[in-house]
Amino acid sequence: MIDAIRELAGVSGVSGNERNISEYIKGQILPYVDKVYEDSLGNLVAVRRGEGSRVMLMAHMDQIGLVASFVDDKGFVRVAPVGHVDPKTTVGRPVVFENGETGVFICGSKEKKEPELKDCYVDIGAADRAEALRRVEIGQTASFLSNTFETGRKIVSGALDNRAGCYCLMETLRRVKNNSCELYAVFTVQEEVGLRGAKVSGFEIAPDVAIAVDVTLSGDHPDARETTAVLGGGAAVKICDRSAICSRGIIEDLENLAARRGIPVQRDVLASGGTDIGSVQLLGKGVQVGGVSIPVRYCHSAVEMADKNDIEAVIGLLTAYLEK
Amino acid sequence: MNKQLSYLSSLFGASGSEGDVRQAVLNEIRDYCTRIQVDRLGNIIAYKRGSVEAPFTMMLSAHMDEVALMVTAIDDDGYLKFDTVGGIDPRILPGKHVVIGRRKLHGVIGALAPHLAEDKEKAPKVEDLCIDIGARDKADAEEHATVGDMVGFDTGYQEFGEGLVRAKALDDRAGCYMLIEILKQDLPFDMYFTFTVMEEIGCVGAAAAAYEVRPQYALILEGTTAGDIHTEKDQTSVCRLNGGPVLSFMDNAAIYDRDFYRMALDAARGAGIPVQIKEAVAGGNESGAVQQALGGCKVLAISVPCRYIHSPVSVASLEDIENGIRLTQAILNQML
Repeated sequence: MIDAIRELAGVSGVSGNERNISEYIKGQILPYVDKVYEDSLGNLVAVRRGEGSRVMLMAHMDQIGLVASFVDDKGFVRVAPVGHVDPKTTVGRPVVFENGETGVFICGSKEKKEPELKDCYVDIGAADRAEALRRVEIGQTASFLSNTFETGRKIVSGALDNRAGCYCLMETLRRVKNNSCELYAVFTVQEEVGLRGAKVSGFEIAPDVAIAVDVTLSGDHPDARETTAVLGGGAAVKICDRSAICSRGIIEDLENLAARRGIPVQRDVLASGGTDIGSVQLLGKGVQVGGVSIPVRYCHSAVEMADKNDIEAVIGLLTAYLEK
Repeated sequence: MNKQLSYLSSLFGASGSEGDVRQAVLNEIRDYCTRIQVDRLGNIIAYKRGSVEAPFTMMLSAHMDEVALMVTAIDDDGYLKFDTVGGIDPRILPGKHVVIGRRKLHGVIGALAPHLAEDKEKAPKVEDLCIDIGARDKADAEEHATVGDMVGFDTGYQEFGEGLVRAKALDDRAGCYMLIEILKQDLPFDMYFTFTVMEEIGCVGAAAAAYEVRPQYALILEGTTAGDIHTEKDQTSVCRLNGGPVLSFMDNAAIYDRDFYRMALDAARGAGIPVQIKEAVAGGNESGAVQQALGGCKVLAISVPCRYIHSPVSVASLEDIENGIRLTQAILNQML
């Protein structure tokens, strides 16, 4: 598991620029699907033929990052956030641009108590503006670099949101034997900038049921806002978040299935944040939606932490759901 | 003088009240289109055949509406209270000439004179301002204006400096002008032209137009903010006048398709057309709504740099506008 997640976390895929991660995932899942294609926005859609209802499983493959917006006269690369970038947890991190150029994300406002994005820039060690522009093109995205490692039963990495979800969906595709449905496993784009990829993918697929496989916040560490889902509590069955209230039928199916199979589950009531189902639920004549989440501490930081047993439980529950 | 742009700019078309602009555009393009329809929201959806049948569906779009104000109440003394329709900074409103309603009643936006202002440092909010139509009292005002009347800026079109223009509503009559000029020329392949409504209040028209056209590629012609005044060396000016049409990689509404963006840059270089990159992630346009309609499509925006955008008067470069037309044509030629 750790090696697979380390590889996934090591491939860049800032929102709007997911080609690398898409190619990587495609290569891994090809043996386990009947058909795979990319749509107009770059969503990677894998199809497993089957009888019955149309089930769409979604894991977003994009990650938050930065985009170079202009270079000042001293050669510092001014950047804009792509997705929700919290300066408190990102300032000081090394970054890598699409073309491999590296730098560090720095905040220029020393006198302020808390760093603000408008004062932040990337220092690539350029001597002047001309050198910087030779090395980094305006519009290039940069992702935050991080290490992926194990500590106890936990996995720590800077891109668990949502490469952990991608891993779960990939593993589910590998493990599921006889799916009792027409399965669309979609690795979506542009989730972090507003659930955009899922919207067009959902429209095209027009599923009966859509389930998001994403991380959720775990507030079980000191000073955290308490959450219903915590690390080690099992797969988190989504009840609601800011983007959608899940369908009762899906919640019951997942919880009953977990009870029968002895898969540890907990409930996920998320007071902030949303997932891909938010933009799929209201498409067409409406879609039954649900979510199976992986609790993560320190979300959107360099050291997002998840529990291996929770990840295992998510894969087990998704596999059972598709075979039911 | 650019008579066409001058005429388009002079028309008033608040979001939802684009009738005059729509009529002008229809008159201008009717003889050149293969097919033309006005949809239920008021979008113009025009189709024109080109030299060959297109292997994909292409949509070019510009919006007809402009930022404006709306009368929300008439107070006891006969002043009109108002709210903004679209994004307008209230700090720029006091002292401006406006026209109200279909009868084009003249008025001026009032605020307390500096002698009387309690706090001179504080900018007035919309609710602190009112429109003075010279009415004696409430009853008199009610004879001339009604709650719900749209209020536009009373700004003439003038060319000045070296090839610059100052006018209202360049966002997005410049885009409408470009679209009309492109439509009048021979096209490399079949395509749709949409002149949309209600962009300034959330890209309402473009979404509906996209559902009708079902494009695979869309080019949005827009005005964008040029900040080339008082810019420090370590600040971005976003884009500048006379620097050429602007291509964006990302704004608040869309992340533009990578390949389409690169192809546009190549097309500009190949044709020797000046082009600049929008050096900021700010604002948004119809691209987001069109990109996410139906099963999605590949979008790109070509923008005209406008200083003081969303104000009673913007300044743009006529050369940028003409180069915007050339760039759009170069991109279209490269798409086959």
